[in-house]
Amino acid sequence: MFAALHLPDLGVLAALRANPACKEKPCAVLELDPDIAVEKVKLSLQAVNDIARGTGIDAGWPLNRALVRCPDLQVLPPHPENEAALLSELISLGESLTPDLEIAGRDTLLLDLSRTSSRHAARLGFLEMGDLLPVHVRADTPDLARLAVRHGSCSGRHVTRADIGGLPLGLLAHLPEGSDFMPLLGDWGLETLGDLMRLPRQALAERLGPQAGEWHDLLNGKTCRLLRLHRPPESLEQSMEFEEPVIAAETLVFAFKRLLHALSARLAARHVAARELRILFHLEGGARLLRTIRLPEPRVEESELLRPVQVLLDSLKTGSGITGITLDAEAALPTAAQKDWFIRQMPRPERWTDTLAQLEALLGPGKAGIPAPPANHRPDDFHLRPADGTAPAAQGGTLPSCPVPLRRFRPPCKVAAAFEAGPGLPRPLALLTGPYRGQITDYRGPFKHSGHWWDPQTAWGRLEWDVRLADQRLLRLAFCPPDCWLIDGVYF
Amino acid sequence: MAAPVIEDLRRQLREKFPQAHALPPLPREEDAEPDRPFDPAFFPPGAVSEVIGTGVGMLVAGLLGEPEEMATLPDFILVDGGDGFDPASFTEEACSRLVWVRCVTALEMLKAADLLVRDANIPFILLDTCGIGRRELHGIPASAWWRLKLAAEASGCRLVVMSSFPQVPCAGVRVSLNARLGLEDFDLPRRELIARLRVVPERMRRAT
Repeated sequence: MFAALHLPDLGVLAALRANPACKEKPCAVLELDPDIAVEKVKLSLQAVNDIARGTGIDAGWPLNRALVRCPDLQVLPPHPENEAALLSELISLGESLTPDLEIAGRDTLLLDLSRTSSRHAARLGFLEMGDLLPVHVRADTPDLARLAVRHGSCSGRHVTRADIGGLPLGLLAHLPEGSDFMPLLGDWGLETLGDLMRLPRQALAERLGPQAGEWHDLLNGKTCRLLRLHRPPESLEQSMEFEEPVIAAETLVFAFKRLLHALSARLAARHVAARELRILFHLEGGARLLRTIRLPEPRVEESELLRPVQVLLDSLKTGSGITGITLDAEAALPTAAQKDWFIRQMPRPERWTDTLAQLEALLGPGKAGIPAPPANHRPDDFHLRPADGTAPAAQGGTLPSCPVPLRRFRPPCKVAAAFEAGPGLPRPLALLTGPYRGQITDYRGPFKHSGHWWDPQTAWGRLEWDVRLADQRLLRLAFCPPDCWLIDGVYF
Repeated sequence: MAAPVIEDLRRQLREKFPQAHALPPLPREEDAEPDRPFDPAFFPPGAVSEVIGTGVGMLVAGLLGEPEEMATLPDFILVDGGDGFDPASFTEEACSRLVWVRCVTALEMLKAADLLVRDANIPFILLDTCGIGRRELHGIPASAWWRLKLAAEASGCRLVVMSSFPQVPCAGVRVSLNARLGLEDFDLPRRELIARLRVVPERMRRAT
């Protein structure tokens, strides 16, 4: 005995959870594929609520026709997160009856009730999800239940072969590849599933292929396939508590080694690998610190898992002792991809990620990366892109103003300068203090730079010169009004 | 060992192997190695090279060139000892060929270089020591350079040390990069300045 559990109009119910104000209005969700750019009015409705259905429209109607029939129709955007949450609730409901269930669609479950007692199975009619009522149908085969649950007349019943025969042929579209043959079967004049069941199987298979023969068997209840059972993901979480708060990194490494040893064995037994490690540090005083290590490629070996953890521990600053640790891992299939011949790749990308993490532990965050020149002329206004290639490059930097690269002082060196103050711009004559002193024998400039003039708080302006001193040294000198002289850097 | 004993040993060796201790003939003007245009392939893989001279600042510009497209993967790593690299002096396309590692002390610079040489995913590493004070550079023990040399040999990396003065005792290649630049050159295109760079091999004497 099998049962199908179905939540009608799941799409619109999920969207209404996000927009509760529309609950009392006729609402619909469009079958919107973001990859396909089509005219919105030609899209068909994916799901409608009961109020909208009361006006005469239904799922599958084109939007323009639906709006003619129901001008007050509210078109809601799909809400995938709420849809996943509703499906999760439906699965919990199904698991309360039997652990053997298959997810047959985003709104339908197939339950195997062969090991469920009749008392438990009787609870099918009383299942509730808050204010939502899922419909159910029982049948001798899972596919019959799956087809029948889509039709309102079968709700709550045990359907037989004879019941199936009276259902409309359109239900066949809910089977894999079923929609491809619907126009042809319509041309043959078939209206119900019974019409199809009465056709000779062999002739049907000869004309439409073996798939049609399988449907014929399915509708006549001759095949009863096994369910593709849904198994909830098993947790890989492990915890360890320390008798005394731990401060030393060596103790933590030892503890992690033990946890990773067990994790590695469990991963290997399941033929999976860890893609991400989540480490929760329990600190003195009840505080918690979560750190996530994203591995460059799925790993199983204990030593390979331990290395990034060690790097993390080297740079970890908790501020108090650690009373316990919790280690969890996200599993993935091990990488078996061959390297691409025609794309430049690093020879050992997993090691590169480790090295970058070690550099961050050594130098601090934001000290290593691919430099991106500034998009404006504000001095030293660059940013660093991650060197692991996770951030795409965005072109738009300014062109260099000088062919000779500057060796920049960070921060700029403040100096006193002798200058000729005229009615116009000042003209530097000599540097009086700082590491580079002397008479200015030649110069280029001044070059005026300014920005953010519209905001008095962040507005800036400066004059820059490329100057040559008497000892032939080349510098970039800047004057920031009202009276600040800076050496930005040297050219050599 | 006392100094007189060493002197005695040297004398005995000179007497026994006079040819080995003969002074090398002075190079004639026509035999002298001519200046060569700048070529990144001059730096051998799996070795430490040292670049000194007035054109050190143009080395990064010469290596990065003026590409027209963004690089999918960086080609060079710049371990910047004095944190003096200026991204605004380069185009975005040129910068995409570089990983910039910003250090502020000699110790950080050496540790970062050691990590990157051993990693060897990007086998061309520039170590810019020009922004570090001379006193701090003199404090680097020779063993640190030898350690980098051994790591470069093992990984096959090109490690190029940019210095104001010769300081790497185990440099396999030491060159002087000459570019006499004046303010009048600031109006020329960068490719002309790079074409003017001249590489002069330095005599390999022990750096102290």
